[in-house]
Amino acid sequence: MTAPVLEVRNLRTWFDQPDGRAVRAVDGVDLKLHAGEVLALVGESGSGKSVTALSVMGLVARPGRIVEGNIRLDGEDLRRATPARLQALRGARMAMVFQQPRASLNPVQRIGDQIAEQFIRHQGLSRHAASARAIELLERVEMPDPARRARDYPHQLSGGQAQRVGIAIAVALRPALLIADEPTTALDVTVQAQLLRLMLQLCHESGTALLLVTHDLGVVAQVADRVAVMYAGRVVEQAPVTALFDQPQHPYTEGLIASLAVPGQRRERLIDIPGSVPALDQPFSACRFEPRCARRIEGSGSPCRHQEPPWVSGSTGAGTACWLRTDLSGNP
Amino acid sequence: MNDIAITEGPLVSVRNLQVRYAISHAAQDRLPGGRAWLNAVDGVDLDLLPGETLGLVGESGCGKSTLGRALLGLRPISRGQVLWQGRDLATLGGAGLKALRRQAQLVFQDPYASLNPRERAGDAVRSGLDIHDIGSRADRERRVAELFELVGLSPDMRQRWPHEFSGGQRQRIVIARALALQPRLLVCDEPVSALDVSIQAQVLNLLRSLQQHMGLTLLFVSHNLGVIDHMSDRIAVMYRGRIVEQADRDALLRDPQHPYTRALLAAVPLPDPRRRLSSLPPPASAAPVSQTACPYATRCEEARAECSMQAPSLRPMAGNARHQVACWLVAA
Repeated sequence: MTAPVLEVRNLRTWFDQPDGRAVRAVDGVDLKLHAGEVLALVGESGSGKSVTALSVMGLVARPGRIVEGNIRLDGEDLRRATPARLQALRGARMAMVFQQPRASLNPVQRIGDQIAEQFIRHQGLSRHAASARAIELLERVEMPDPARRARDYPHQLSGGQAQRVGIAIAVALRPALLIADEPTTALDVTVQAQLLRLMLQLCHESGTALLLVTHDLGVVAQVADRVAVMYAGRVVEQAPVTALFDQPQHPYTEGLIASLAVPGQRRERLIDIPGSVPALDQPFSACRFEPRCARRIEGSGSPCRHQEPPWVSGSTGAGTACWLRTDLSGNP
Repeated sequence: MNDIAITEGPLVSVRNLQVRYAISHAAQDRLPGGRAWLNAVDGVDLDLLPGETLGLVGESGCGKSTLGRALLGLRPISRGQVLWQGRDLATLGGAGLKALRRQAQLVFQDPYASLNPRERAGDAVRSGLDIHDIGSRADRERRVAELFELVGLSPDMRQRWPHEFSGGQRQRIVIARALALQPRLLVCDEPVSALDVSIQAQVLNLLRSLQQHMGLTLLFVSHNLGVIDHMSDRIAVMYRGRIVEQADRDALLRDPQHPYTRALLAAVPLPDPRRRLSSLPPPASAAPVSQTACPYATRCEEARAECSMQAPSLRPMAGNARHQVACWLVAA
């Protein structure tokens, strides 16, 4: 198999607190992403999925810091890269689409100029040539009347149009990696479907690998090739999309799928996951999902209560961190 | 349930209701004809029967929240009527409105914004009892403790501040506050949209069991069709200020008639990896509409000439008076 576009190994990103403790937002994450692949990073708020994305982009700011781990983009070690090198890579080799489309654009710059900036800064095009490329890109992201809209400011756009601009900026230089952090969460479902389709198509055309950060399992089922499920700072399950929905291995994944209200599949009660996410300012000495787990092993000798479960690899890149999937002797 | 409702008559009726917002000068040139008003709710007829849950679904900006608030007298009515058990809301004075608000309460979307950060949880829940001067001080405290238990919180938490609760717990406090005066109607405006999926299921299960045990009437406003399906007896679909389709839940989901309802259903991402995005038909894009045309005509793939001439009104379908559609293409 070819080398991955993105390889993250044992990433730990912590946020230092005034009291000297640290919130372990990302606490040992491994991910691999190949060219043209769509990997969904799924989890609830506070699971560490956005911080993982920002860590890859080199956008974690104080009091956050990457404590440990490797991040490689096309084999290049990003943790050793200088700020200038990271700046050059962002936009050109890796790019990001954010959740709040209007908030991620400059409110006092015309959108055409914001797109053109990519070509001027990274490719040294003239302002005139860059503007022409910007209009072409607006057309590719299916913006109506692109030449005229290029002169608009962000406040003149709808949420969906603003996100089209965000996507145009991100894909302008055909990056190897596109990270989209809840790109359609703020938008209506019909617009969401259009934009997801557009992003997939653009990534497909340029062989861009897509890391889609989302909490929405419906979106995951529609677009992802593989899925990584995060809980409390750790990836608890990874699998190809069909396997994940058909045979979830981790009780948390199972609970997430079961708790969805799906139109046309009404049940008397939704299965809920009791309790809420644990505090992340202490190291875990047990499975971090154990207090909420419907399938935990009971009894005083239960491994669930005494040790973090090891990662157990299954077939074709799948795997999970759950004591139920080990042989229970403690040896994975 | 519906038999009882017919003999009792509706709890609330809305007749040809219009709610309009003044539009700033800057935004006026973007509307056809430079109108100075936006009709957020534009000629809505609706009946809420005692004990039923009516789901109101639509995209952002369709007027669903405005309609919910107008029902409670919280938005100025520019035309039409809201009738509370036959009494016109507009004829109620201050005392009449105060009495009404004992019977009708609102649960908001953002549990972080709907609690006063400087008011203890117990005080927030008690405030309605204080305002309406119900019982002795000791009675009220007892009632607050009961309400905490009712929504699944420990009464020991009454002295805590809002910031000490999670999002799901805050929403339970908001629900307890809304139920303190034993209202007949609860308007729930996107009550779980700000919550994680596993927590959404907890709050939806709670609302449904409360509704069943207390015989509440619910207007459940949401953009999420899965949630609407789970909660509702009947569903009304809103588009640009109008109700375009209304029917019993199963009829609407299994046999949607309005092209917009069908597009909305098709765009919902289902947690089914066999329904990939690429296999869905592309939705049409939005454009400004004239006031006389069907509001959906510019997006409708099936629109005919008459659709841009005159807006259809909500009419019962042939053979099923409970299923009503505002579309020229559907036989009345």
